[in-house]
Amino acid sequence: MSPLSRREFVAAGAAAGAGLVIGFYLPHGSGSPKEIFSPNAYLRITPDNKITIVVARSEMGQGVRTALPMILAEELEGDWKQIEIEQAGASTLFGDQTTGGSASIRTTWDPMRKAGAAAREMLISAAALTWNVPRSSCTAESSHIKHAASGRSLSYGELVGKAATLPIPTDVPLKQSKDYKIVGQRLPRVDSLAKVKGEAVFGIDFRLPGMKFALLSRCPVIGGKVSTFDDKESKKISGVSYVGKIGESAVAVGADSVWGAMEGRRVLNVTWDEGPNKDLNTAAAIASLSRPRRKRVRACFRRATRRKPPDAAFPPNTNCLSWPTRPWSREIARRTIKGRSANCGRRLKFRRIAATRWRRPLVSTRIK
Amino acid sequence: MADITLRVNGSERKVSVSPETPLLWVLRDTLELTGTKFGCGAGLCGACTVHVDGNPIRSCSTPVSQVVGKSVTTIEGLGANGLHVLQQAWIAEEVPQCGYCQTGQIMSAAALLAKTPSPTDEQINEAMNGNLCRCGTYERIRKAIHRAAGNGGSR
Repeated sequence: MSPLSRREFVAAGAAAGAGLVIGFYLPHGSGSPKEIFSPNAYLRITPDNKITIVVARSEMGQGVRTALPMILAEELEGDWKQIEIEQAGASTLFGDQTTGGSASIRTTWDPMRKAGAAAREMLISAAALTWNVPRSSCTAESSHIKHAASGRSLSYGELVGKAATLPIPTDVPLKQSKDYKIVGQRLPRVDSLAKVKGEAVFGIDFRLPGMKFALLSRCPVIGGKVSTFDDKESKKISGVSYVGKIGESAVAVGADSVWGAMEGRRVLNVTWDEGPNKDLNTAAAIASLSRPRRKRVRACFRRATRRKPPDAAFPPNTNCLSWPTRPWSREIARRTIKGRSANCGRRLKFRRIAATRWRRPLVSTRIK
Repeated sequence: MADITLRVNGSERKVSVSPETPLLWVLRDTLELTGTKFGCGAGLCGACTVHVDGNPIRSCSTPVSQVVGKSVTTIEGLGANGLHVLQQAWIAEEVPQCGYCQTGQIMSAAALLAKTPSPTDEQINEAMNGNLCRCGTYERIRKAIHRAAGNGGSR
């Protein structure tokens, strides 16, 4: 096997600044690893022209399972119909897989594009070597490399063997947005069928052979602890195999079915030490927000929303009620005016909510 | 524990569970039909909706002993010959976002169309009232039901 083979080494590197994870794929199941082209953790192509794109973010209804593969497929020049999608496993190859904060596209846009582009360039090189023609005379299109001058064409599947022996390029050209064929299209979500058939596997549907299920009984007051617990009744429930303290503030009931664990928890007897917050209630929380402080905050927002905007930064057709003086407020106003998402991070979002709670909207949301 | 014979999606299934066990957990844990979801466990959200003799019921709050001798249909048994017209409409209208509640939504809608082949918005609202969707797909659900109704929705 060539010393440059992707399966032989981990090139734990990153394209400058963008965090492209380049790793190697550990093929599971049968089949020789030679038959798989996997230049990075996000992509596998097999000789049967199957293109598998790995999604390293959680689908929670926001559409990343469709959108992220679209980004890679765009640069790959892959035929969308041939693409299969796989959820990333637990692996450091994908970096932090945390999903939230409207961050999936922003944080994977560059890595997915570069992953696709690197593969495309390697496939072009493989075809050029096969035909003994200059790379520049070959083009990638619809999961094929084409040589216009001779009319020859090879599918990605036919090229995987050779492509897998080539070095991974680190600085790859990316497509211009005007040339996009997949990104920008309104493609149907890839997971609708599984979801309407009840075949989509959610966390609660995950099963292993002989798997047990546990539920926690937790202190109803934050900061509280388990004082004592009595598991006698719980253990009488059919299927309950474990009752025990977890940390300081919870008791776990384990059983061989979810319902068994639920029943075991229902009859569990826990005495709680409710701790320092045992007397905290809504009235006490409101009383703690002293009136002078509320006045201060109110005055702060009044000041922040009084100033008029500078003309240049303020398009005439917008419907702005006032122009904030605080940098973060101005940023929100600017972004909203531009029609972009005003959600530029949790802090700003929070501030925006805080601002609108004082009934002085920074800008109308109805921007043309 | 008791040996109970159920009729689920057209076939006889023998289970050995306590008679008070909710039908939901017999379906999910014993029969491994996980398309029916657990949401609130109190009959408030509709995620666990299945049909018993054609009527939509909340399986999380229905002891399995109550459905002995009756015919239970889950999402896995809906449209046994390919996709049910509602499932097709759901895909066409791209209803699901996270999708967790959607099997329950579809079961409620299927029961509605079986009785009311061309429901009005009001009839849809009333029938679907007990099915919550945190993604807020209600508008598309209504569209999909109308679409399915236009395509012979009771099948």
